[in-house]
Amino acid sequence: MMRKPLTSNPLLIGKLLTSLLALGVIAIGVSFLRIVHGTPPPYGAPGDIGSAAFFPGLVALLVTGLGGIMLLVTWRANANVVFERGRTGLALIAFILMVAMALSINVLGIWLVSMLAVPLLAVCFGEQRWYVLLALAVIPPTVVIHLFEGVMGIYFPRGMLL
Amino acid sequence: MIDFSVLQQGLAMLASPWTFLALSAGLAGGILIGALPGLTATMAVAVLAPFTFFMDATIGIPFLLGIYKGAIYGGSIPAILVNTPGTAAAAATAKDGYALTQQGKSRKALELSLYSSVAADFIATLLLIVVAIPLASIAIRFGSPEFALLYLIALTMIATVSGESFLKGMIAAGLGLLVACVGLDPMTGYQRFTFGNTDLLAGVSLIPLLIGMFALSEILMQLTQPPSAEDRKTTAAEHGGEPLSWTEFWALRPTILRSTTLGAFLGSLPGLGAEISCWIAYGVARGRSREPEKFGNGSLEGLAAAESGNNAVVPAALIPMTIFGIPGDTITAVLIGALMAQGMMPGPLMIQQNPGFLFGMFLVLLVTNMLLLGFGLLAIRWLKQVTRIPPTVLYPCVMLLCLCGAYAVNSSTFDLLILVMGGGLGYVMRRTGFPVAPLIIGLLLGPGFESALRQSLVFSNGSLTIFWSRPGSLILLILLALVIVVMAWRGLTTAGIIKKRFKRLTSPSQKH
Repeated sequence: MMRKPLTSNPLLIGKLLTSLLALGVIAIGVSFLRIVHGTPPPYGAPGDIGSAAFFPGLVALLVTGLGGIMLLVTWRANANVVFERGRTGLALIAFILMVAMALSINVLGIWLVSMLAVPLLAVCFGEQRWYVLLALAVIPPTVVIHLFEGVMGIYFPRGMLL
Repeated sequence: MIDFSVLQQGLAMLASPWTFLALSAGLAGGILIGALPGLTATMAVAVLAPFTFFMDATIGIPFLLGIYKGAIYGGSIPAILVNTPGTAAAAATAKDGYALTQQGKSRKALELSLYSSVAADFIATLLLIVVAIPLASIAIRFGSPEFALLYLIALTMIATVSGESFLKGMIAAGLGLLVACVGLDPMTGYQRFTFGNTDLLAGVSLIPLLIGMFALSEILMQLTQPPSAEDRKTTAAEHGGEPLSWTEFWALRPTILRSTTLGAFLGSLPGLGAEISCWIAYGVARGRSREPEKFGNGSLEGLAAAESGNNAVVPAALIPMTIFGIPGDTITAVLIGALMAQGMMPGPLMIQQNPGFLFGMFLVLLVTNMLLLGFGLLAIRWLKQVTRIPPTVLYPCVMLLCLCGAYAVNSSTFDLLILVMGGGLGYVMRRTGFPVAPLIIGLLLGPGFESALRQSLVFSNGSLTIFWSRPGSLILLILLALVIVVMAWRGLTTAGIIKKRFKRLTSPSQKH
């Protein structure tokens, strides 16, 4: 008998993903609590109203508790946590492109980054015509960068190449 | 007593040709962006907010208000012509608007949408002016305990109404408050959660984060769930048919008035934006209509209700923003960010320190309505082509604007990292059903809430009695309790717990 793949059960995927998110929320709350309680007074005195640790300590405790509740609620029998399918892989590629764009702007400069990123995102959206990609690599960066630099006086990093 | 210097300042702001130009540009741009399916009004205001940092507040803020109003109206054009709402606020408009277009009455539908929007906006703006001044005089007397409770009410409401899950809303609001703690402590000046990074001393940059969460996440969402093939095949119908007659419009005045009142009330509550009010106004109009069967099949009443319901929200959402500094929806959250960048803090302080600017802003809102009528008529005729811009061209250009806009705030590449992280976080939240609005509003209200709470507790030596020993705080505490009870009732009803019991109790009487 053929075993059904995991991806064929959207409810289970939803439950697993929501649990993962709940664990992420708990992790964020615990990390904030650790910093708040681990720092010596006068900053790290969450019980003291005047201390800078009071408010974050209170909120972090709340977030951790809510994360715990979310984890428990997810595995109830009637929990509705179905994960909607979509082209997540493509979005991930586009996100990596955005991160690369933000990290490389100091090295490559605004011109090179925008002339590469704009057509590459268009490719992610399914554009294949070379003349459209070429136009996207030239026209939007030229217009937008000149608008910011010429009109608003904002100068972007030129990078090492230019 | 009327302060003539305030009136003079307000009129001077309105009389400036630059203000008028900025307002017109904002309105035209807003209608254009709103008409592009997939580009939301929040996204438009967030992406274009950095442009205003280099303008005077009397020019920059009218520009953003123009974008806000224009985008909410502009969303109705593709909703009517191609059955694709330009913004989420125009979703109800598409039901009857597109049905009218299919019947060859697109001109009538577009004109009715414009006139209903302008009428609703105008009435709601007058309401804002009438309500804002008396409420402002009360807000000035508020102390720290009242503000702490007010922020708590706003956060509770936003967390409960902006998403499907109360728990997820509360977690999002909590995460927003935690992010707001990054930077210098507002009372002692200690560094918190900066990890030695000087870029974080002033906290997480708000505008880059907002652009990321609203614009970049939208691009990623469009990649994940592109419009269906059927939606793409739908072509714009020819603009034609009979114009809307005065008799037809006049007959709709009860619907428009009712939907405007409803939209204005819902808009003034924190967390309820135009996306929700349009459906509620549409539902109420259907319930009160003599011809409910026509709804969804080209009802003029339905179209008027949806449009007046969503446009009345725009001025109403400014009520909590201007008086208490609490954003009414995500767009006003971005507006608060833009005002803060201009060195103004919306709320009682702004009323005391910049009354002339505030009065000028109210006048600008009234003038925007008249301009919207003119720009709307032009847009009806010429904007059909805009809906045909392919996403392969549109979204890469939006991404470039996001990149440049986020960098422009502080000329810092660190802000680009915040932008991208905001985009990733917004995407994950939207995919997993976490509402984005509570996080943003938690982030915005965080410093004020913390200061108000700690100041109150310091004054009372740690005693919680300060929250019910003053008349103002007692009223707000009762209001908070009411909000919690109503929200809990809503949650239990949604979960089916109350309904089951209610059915059991009422079942014998139903048999009769």
